[in-house]
Amino acid sequence: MLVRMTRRTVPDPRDYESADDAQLVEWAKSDREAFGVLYTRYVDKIYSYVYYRTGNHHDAEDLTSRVFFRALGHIGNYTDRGVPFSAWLYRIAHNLVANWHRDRGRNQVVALEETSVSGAPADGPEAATEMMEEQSLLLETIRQLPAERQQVLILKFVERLSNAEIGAIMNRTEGAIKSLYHRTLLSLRSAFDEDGAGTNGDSREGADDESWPERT
Amino acid sequence: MRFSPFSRLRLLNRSSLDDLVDAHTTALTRGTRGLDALLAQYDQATAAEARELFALVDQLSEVLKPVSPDERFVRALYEELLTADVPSLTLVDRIRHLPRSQLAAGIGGAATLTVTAGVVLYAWKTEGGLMALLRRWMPAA
Repeated sequence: MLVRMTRRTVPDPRDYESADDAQLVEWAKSDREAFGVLYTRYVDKIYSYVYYRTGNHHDAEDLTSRVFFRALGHIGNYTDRGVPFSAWLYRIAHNLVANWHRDRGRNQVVALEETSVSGAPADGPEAATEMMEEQSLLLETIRQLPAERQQVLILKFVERLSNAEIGAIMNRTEGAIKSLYHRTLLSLRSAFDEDGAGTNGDSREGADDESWPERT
Repeated sequence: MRFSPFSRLRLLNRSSLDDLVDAHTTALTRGTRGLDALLAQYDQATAAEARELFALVDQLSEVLKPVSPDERFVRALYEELLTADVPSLTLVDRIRHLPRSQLAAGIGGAATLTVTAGVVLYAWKTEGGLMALLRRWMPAA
C-alpha cells in the first residue's frame, strides 16, 4: 500500500519514450539513459546509411559504433541551432565514412557484400535472373557516383527523407537538393545506359567527400 | 547573352521535370501511387523523359532499401554506450578530423614558425652573432 502511494506521489519526471529529440538531447547531456533512447531511435537509420556507403556489414558495424561514441563524447557541447539532432548524427556518420574512404584509398570501389537485390516476382527464373543482374548493375553504378550523389540517393530512398531534411544534413537549400537529385538521376541514367559502371568521368568514391560541420 | 523564348521554354520544362520526378519519388517512398497519370498534361518530349526517369526511380526504390543491423550488435552497443566511459578525443584524433582548410593553415603556420626559428638560430650561431647582424641593420643602436 505504502509502495503504491509512493509511486503515485513521486511520478517519473522523465518520460523518455514520448519526449522529442530536443528534450532527450538536453537530458542526455547528463543522463546516459536518455542517450540510450536517442540511440534506439536512430541506430537502424545510421547503420543503413553507413552500410550503403561502405558496402559491408563489418565496417558498417564498426563505423556505426564510432558514430554513437563520438556523439556521446560531444553531446555535452551540442547546441540546438534549428537543425535536427538526426542531421547532426548523419553529419558525424558522413565524416567518419569520408575518413574511412580516405584511409582505404580514394579510387577503391567497394562492392556490396550481399546486394539487397530483391525485386517483384518475375515471370520465370530467367526473367528473375535478368532482373537481379540489372539491379546489381544499378547498385554497382550507384557506388561509382561521386559521394555527394550517393548520399542524396541513400538519404532519399533508404532513409526516406524529404529534400528539406536532406538539405539540413548536407548544409544546402531544399532547391539545391532537388537540383542535385535531378542531376544525379540524369548522370545515373547515362552511366547505366552506357553499361558504364566505372566509365563515368567524375565517378570516384569520395571524390567530393568533404567534411560536413558537426556543430559540436 | 539573351535567352531565346525557346531556351526559356526549355528551362521551364526542365524545372517542371525536376518537380515532377521529385514528386514521383516522394510518392513512391511514402508508399503512395506514382504520378504517371499526370504526364498527360505535359508535352510529349517532357512526358517521355519523365517516363524514363520514373522507371529509373522505380528501380532505385527497389534496390535501395533499409538494411537492419544484427540485433546482437544493437544490444551490445547499447550496453557499451550506457556503461562505457565517455571517450575524449586524443590530440591526434582532433587534428585528423580538422577541416582541410584549418589543417592546411595549421601546417603552414607550423612550417613558418620552424623556418623563422631556424633562421634566427643560424644567425645567432654564425660568426658575429645576431647582435652584429642587428647592428649592421640599425647602426644607431
